[in-house]
Amino acid sequence: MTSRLRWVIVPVLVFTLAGWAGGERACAKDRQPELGAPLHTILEVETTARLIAILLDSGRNVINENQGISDDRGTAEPRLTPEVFERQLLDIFHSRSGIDLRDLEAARIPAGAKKLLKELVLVSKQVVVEIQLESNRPGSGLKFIPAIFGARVATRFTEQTHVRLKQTALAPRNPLNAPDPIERTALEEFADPSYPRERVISEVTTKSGSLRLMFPLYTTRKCLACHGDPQGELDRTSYPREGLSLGQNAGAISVMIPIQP
Amino acid sequence: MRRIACFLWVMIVVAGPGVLWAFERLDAPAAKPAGSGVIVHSDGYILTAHHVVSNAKRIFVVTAGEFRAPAILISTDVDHDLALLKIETVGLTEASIGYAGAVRLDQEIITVGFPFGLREVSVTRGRIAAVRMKGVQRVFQVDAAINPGNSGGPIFNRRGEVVGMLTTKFSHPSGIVPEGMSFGVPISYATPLLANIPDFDFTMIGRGKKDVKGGGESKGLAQEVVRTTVRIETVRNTDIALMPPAAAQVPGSSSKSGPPAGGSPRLQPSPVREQAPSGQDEEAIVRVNEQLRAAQEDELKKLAQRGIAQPAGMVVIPAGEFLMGAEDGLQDARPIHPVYLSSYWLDKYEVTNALYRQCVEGGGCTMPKDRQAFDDPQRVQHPVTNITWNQARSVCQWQGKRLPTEAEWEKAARGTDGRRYPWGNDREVVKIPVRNGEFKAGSSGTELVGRQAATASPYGVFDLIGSVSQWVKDWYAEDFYQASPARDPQGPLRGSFRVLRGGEWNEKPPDLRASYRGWDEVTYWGPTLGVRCANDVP
Repeated sequence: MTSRLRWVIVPVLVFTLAGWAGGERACAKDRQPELGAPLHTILEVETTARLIAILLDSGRNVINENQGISDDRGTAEPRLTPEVFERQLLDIFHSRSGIDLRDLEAARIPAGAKKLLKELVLVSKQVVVEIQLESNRPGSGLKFIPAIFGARVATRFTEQTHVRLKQTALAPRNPLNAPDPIERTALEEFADPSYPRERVISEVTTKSGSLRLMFPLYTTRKCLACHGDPQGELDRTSYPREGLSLGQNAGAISVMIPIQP
Repeated sequence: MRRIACFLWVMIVVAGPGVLWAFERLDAPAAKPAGSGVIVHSDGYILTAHHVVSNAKRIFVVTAGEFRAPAILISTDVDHDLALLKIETVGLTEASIGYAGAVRLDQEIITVGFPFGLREVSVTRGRIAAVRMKGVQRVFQVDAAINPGNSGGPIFNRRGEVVGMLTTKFSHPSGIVPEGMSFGVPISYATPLLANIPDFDFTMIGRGKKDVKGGGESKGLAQEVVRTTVRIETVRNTDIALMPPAAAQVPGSSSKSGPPAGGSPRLQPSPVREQAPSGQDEEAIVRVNEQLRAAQEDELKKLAQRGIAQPAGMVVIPAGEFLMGAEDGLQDARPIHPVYLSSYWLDKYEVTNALYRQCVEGGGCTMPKDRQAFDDPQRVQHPVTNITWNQARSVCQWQGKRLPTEAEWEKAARGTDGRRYPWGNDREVVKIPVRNGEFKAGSSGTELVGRQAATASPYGVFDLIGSVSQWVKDWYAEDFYQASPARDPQGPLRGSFRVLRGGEWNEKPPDLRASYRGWDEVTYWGPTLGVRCANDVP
């Protein structure tokens, strides 16, 4: 029972943020400045990181829905147009997060988050077009699958913003996705079958000066075709199958945002 | 701003086994460790960690002057590990409450408590080393030396205001005891508890004292804060009763389901149920089935009197309580808990390819993602498959219906007696792929809807188990049952996955129980996924 990081406490929804933001803020002004970022800043950054992870995962959802439709077409035209993709992406993100990016101004989220989410949508649209064109080219080994979509979007988003976005797993197929020590610790936690499903891990430490958020991903039915059983047998992209089972943790989306003190 | 009036140290001595808590606590060792607390109101209100007083038979407060007062538990917040106690006295020195939102990384803090149950208070200084977040829970990591017995003790900022409560320490698989890593709950989580204090002045939060600077004054601060930190003693119940929450509330449903002999054995954990379902059990199932059908007919009659006719292809599930979840199943199906549902209509069969085609032609639906099965003329009356959650919702809306909730699906499948399968508790039915040519779990595809009469539920709903998984309305959350509303639950507000109910034809027996909760991405579509619709009874 007590073999692991056991200080996690069962979360309760909603009231927390209200509690933080609410009545106690009045006196924040007359504080002596102290080292480090105030908690409400940290909370805003955490919200931002969480939304970025959900948006990237929502993009992966859309790819999953259209997988097989876009595959193996041999045509030069993208089957999933960026417009259709965007509509589906925003719908899924809306239902999952409660935030409608079509009406970004009205959304009650940190200003920094709005800019970043907008950018991420843009990058996702570009990548969708590119991958389809490339994968439809004869002889291309590239497949229109969530992992490739996610990796491309993450790389480009990292290049264009101050946020580092990454997909990672304990045993990634793509060596570029190998975890750093902090990511590895979180992934090992996720890998424990008793770890509460869908609970993200995030932390800010004095040393790092940035917020790290790990958003767990799970093996769904669609993943099993390539990552399931029989273990070791090659899948359609010529990788050996990992032998994952349904519902098992399959890695994480890692978000790192520097915190300005 | 507040003057110190008197000392009160409250001591919590734990007599009994370690706490019943999934996490390693500061007071985990068996040797009677003490807990700490902090006075938050002069009328005898004390805030501490919930695990310090959990399962306590009696709680005593021991003051510095050896004054020992019994305390009562006013309120608890298990999720944040906080508890509010009260002793019958007035005029205590209360601690100022700080603003946790202003806590900064690397900020100096002072923790006060009674490590190892020592009677002398100890003060340790440290810093906020990290702010960690798991889910929506925030915790402060502090690097001060914390030991068992500090649990429930306050974390003060340099102005002498309480900004957090010490709750946990963690252990690492390596066995190395981490040094200088302890965790505290931000004080803002205590707001709902503090609201129980009749005249608590919330406007004073964060306005306690001036910043204290310099060594001499700092010493004064330490003296001040220890006066508000307290020790408590408890006597624990030695036998931790693992009472299934539902057991106490069964009468509501068992009154309908017949004599206790039939009702209670089914509530026992699996070992009992696993052993050969007795003839008695089967008799009880038959009896309950008769009662459920009678209740269903009564409901129909009542509706007919109000001029409401039964929609074609649907059955009514009368209002009432049922038992949802299972104690012996997977973690996400626990605990078994009573849920009251208003009456509703539910489709007898899953939506068929034929019906879905009408929806497509009527403009209400988009084509299934894979059309091979859909276009097969042999499978016109088979359940539609390869549809996403959105498509499932659309086909229900097009008929003027809606998706059922997870609870509605489960009640229709299990009746009111907490049975394992729609037909009872007999596992033989699902063990063999084809039994008497009736059950097809393990075969290679869908089949005609309504063919498996042997697996129908007592309400006359077909193909709940062993056909296709069915999308329901709810978002999936592993821990939803632990906090589920007792009346017409609608699932969590947000999520990443939607729930799928009903073991599908390629699943293994453990997943074929009526309590099994599947889930997948909202965009998933596949050959094992379909839908059935529900509607409100007006």
